[in-house]
Amino acid sequence: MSETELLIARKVATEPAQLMPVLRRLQQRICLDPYTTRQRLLGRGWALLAKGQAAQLETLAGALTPLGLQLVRLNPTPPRFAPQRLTALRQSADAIHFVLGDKELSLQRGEAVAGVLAELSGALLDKSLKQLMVQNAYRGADAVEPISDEEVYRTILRAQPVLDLYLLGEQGQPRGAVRVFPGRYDPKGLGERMSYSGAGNLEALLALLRDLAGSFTLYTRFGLDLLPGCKLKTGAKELPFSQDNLASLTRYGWLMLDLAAATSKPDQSPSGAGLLVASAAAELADLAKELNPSQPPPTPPPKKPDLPPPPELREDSPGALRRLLSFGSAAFGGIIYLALQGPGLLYGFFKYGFNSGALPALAAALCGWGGFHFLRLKRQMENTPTSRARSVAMGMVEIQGRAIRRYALVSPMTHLACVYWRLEKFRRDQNEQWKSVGVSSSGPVPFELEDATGRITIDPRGASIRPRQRQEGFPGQMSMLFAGVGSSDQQEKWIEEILGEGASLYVLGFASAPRQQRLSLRERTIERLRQLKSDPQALHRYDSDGDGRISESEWEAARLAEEKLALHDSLRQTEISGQGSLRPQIGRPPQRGLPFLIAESASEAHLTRNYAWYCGPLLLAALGFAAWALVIWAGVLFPA
Amino acid sequence: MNGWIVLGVLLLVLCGLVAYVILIYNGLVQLRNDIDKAWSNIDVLLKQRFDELPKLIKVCEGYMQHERKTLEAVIQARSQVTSARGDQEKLQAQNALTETLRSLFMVVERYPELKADAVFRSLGSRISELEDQIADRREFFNDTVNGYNIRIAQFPDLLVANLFRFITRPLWQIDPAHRQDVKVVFEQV
Repeated sequence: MSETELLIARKVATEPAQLMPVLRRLQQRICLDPYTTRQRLLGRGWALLAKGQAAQLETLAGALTPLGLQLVRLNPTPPRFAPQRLTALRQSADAIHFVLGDKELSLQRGEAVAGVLAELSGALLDKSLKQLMVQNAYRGADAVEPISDEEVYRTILRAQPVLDLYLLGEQGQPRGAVRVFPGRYDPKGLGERMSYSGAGNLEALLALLRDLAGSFTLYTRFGLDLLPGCKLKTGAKELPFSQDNLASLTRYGWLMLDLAAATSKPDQSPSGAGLLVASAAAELADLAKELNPSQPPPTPPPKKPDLPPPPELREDSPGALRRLLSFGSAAFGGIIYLALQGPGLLYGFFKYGFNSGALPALAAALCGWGGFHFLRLKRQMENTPTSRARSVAMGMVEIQGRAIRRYALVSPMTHLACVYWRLEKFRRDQNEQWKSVGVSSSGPVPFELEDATGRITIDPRGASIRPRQRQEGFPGQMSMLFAGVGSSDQQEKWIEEILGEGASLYVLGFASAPRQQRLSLRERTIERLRQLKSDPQALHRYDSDGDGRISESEWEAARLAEEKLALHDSLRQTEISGQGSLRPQIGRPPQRGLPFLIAESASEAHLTRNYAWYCGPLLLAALGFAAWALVIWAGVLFPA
Repeated sequence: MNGWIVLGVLLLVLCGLVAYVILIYNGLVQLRNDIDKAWSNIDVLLKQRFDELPKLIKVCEGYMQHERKTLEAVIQARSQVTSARGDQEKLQAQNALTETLRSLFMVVERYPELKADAVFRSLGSRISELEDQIADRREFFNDTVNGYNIRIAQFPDLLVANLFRFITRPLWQIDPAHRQDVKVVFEQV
């Protein structure tokens, strides 16, 4: 028997509290990668944790078992035989007879059987990965749930399923195995349960086994469990029922039987298969003392509600830079129009412009305006100290932090959680050059910015947004993980820019109180009194003399009581939300000349450095163009 | 003609310089006003804290009949803030109020029923939040003053600052008494 053993863990839904500290200590002692190990322990099903000598595995298992993890150390049984293909079956009163070519295998009533229902096309694996990605995008990484057993079962039946059945003997060891390919055997033996679909017949067979067998265990996680020698090969060039995949399936079946045998034993033995208890080794004494062996099972965290879908919001009128770009595009369009009228007109236009000095003067004015714009912005950013989220004052503020989503916004190309995306589509023209055909964006969807002191809402309406994350892809490319899967139309490409969730942002904007929080105590009291008037039963409470009418003094008492309740509600809401009564949000300044900037930047210095690079050349260019215009005007005014 | 060109270029450069000086001057004026605004924003929070105190005292009175001295100290500190005149006096009165509130919250620890009271909890967390925000805004005030002082000391802003007589502003300073070590005495039970 080989000395190398496997340590296999049953994954858990929630992370044990002490897991990472224990893994980090194990990293120092036995060079274990804590993050890979953690990933293997979370989720559903089984996963190989380590492979090695018994003593090493005992160290690892001894440290992890007190955390409530189920671990199995075993020397896997090599498959003694592979399942044989079913060609037909017969039923009798107390048995099923499987016809395997020229042989026959029988299952008597009350006997044990184990089955592995698998699909070999990769559809289950794809579905599982997509579900994880979508949940990560819409709920966050902490609230991801693996695909349920019911969903797994349904997905397998809809794809290309195969069923392996292991008929177990007295000791729980397999005495024979059958491989059922739906549609490739004669189903008449199912009798009344027979249907016209392969999947239907498969379900009928499973129901028959459940009725007849004394014990029937069905394993459905082939391809999802991370076990050695049990990998499913997928891809365009790989056939689902290839020899490799069928061999992997056979190994998986035998490994499941070993695990079942190991986990059914109530006691453990020092050698061979079995569950392990905390080792009494001296090197583990300090770990064992720090960990509470009787740790209660971790309570699952409360399920976080899904983020709401992003609201339908319209972009407001464009800012100054966009207006300038629109003007520039219109001017460019005018030049193109002139060019199309014939070379003579365009040439004449430019000649007159340069000879008169008008075009250089215009260029000087534009460059000068641009240079001073960036210089003013740079100085404004440097002059504004950074505020903290919990103590932002009304007015122009600068704040830095991480972006947090308020709505379930996901980028269209890369399917990443984000607070803003912008997608530009390009198509090849006749000259094989990429030409922009459309730009779309997520619009002004509000999000939150979090720093060390708290969170604040950002309303990006009218902001100049500078993302750094940029991806290029093709339509049909579902996400970066599935790059290469699906058709790629090389005639069209997309460029996507996003502000991802968790990105480090710099925001320069105007802090003001959001409208819904501007209700004063008087307004809230009026609202409560309005509701009181429409509720006769509630109003009756204040009828102290019982005459059926509310007198002036009774109404005054009601007003005072409702005011007190409104104040109490406000205080209670403050306690629940943990926020002040007026929490400002950052948005566009009311004055047009003030900037509103949202940039993905490591620090303010990075941004201001970039602006210094813009304004220097622009101002020099303005000076140059102005000098040129001056020379032309001097020549005109004082001809030689 | 060449002379006119040279003159024209010099005029251009001069216009550019004037525009730059205007930019610097406007920036310094904004910085100076931002300092006053930052100082006033601290006052906004101090006023909010001041307004919360009567409710707090009323809630505490119901539970802490034997702590008249502590409550009276808070009431007296609050009235001193009202009567203070001048920036220095107001600053001293606010610091004294902070001290009495600190003492009050320490004494509250002996009254678990008061601590469990819902109104006290919400008022206490509100005042605690205000104290954090006041500390943040004091730091913000110092950042603003520091930025202004650096600006008027650096070239070329230094030239404009000297020309238009921009002077340095002092940072917010704590009471020297608060720099001393706190002596902790444990009562023998």
